[in-house]
Amino acid sequence: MKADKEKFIALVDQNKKIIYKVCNLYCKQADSRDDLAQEITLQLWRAFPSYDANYKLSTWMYRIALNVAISFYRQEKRRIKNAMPLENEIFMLASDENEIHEKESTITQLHQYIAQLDDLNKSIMLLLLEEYSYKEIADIVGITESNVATKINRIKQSLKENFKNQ
Amino acid sequence: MELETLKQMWQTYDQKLDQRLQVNKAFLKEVSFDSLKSRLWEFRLEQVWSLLIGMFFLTFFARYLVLTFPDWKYFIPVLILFLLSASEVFTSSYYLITISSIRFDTPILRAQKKLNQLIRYQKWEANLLYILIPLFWPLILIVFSRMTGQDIFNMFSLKMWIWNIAGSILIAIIIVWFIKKYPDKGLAEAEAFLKEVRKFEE
Repeated sequence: MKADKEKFIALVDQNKKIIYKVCNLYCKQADSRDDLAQEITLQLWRAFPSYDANYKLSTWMYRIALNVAISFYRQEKRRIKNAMPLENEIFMLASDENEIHEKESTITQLHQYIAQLDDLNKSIMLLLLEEYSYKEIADIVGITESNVATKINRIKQSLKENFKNQ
Repeated sequence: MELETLKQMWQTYDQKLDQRLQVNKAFLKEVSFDSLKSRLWEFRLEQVWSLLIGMFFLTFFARYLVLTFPDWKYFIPVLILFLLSASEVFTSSYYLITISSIRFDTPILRAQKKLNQLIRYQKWEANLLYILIPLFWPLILIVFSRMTGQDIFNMFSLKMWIWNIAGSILIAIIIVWFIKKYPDKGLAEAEAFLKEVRKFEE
């Protein structure tokens, strides 16, 4: 059990960006982001014993993190409040997120663009940027590959419109 | 701007995150391993109280069982109250044992089944109040009349007993309505949480 805990913490540490990016895309408020990060890690821990090593770890993590985020996003008003006060944060940035973005205004714009997408398209867009194949996206999101292709085509069109002056 | 260019920018952002993002490991341990238990803490405390109260009444009525035997018109009401207290002790113990058995390494489906079982049992227990509440106060009156040496069967007319039971039924309806309207929050949250996890595994 102790070994499992250590293994799990190492796993979260190695893949911290996945949780961070999902939280950042699905929650605008810092408090909500912390709550969501807590919920994702909690659910990852619960699902950890059933993790099948035949699958890619990052795919498994994205699948859980995005599902939690979508569910959390839909239920934000009545979301689960833990008894544990959030005095700390699980994920901390050595410098401010805005500082990372300021030199990359396109990234900020991209974040804004993703923020206005519906929750399913948010997931698809994130996975697309993370270089996942259509098949992998279909597997994570739970829709068919052809459906993924259609959605991606629409996203590409919309991206062109949004970034046409750059 | 093309998608490929955006992807390259995203990769740069990703590399920056790699350097600057840190995990608060101590807090992560606290959150991941203790959170579900804390959600059930309130429910567990209620059950401990219920167990203690049940045990107190069980001992109390056990003494009166001995004292009233073989005076049937008092012995039977005391026996019913004794059995009700015993069922309270049994139910609370069952809840506590089931919650304790939901460990972090318990397979999710099994944990979910256990929680669903608790919720079903709670609903069944709430419906039982329709019978228990109307019975409880007349029985308590009978037992206390025996304790104080009053003959309650001569003190109250049949009409008064009927009114008493009718009033108790009304109270039972109100209480059961409240219980169903506001079910145990911690348990419901834990169930919702496990349902979500299960959903991801399907």
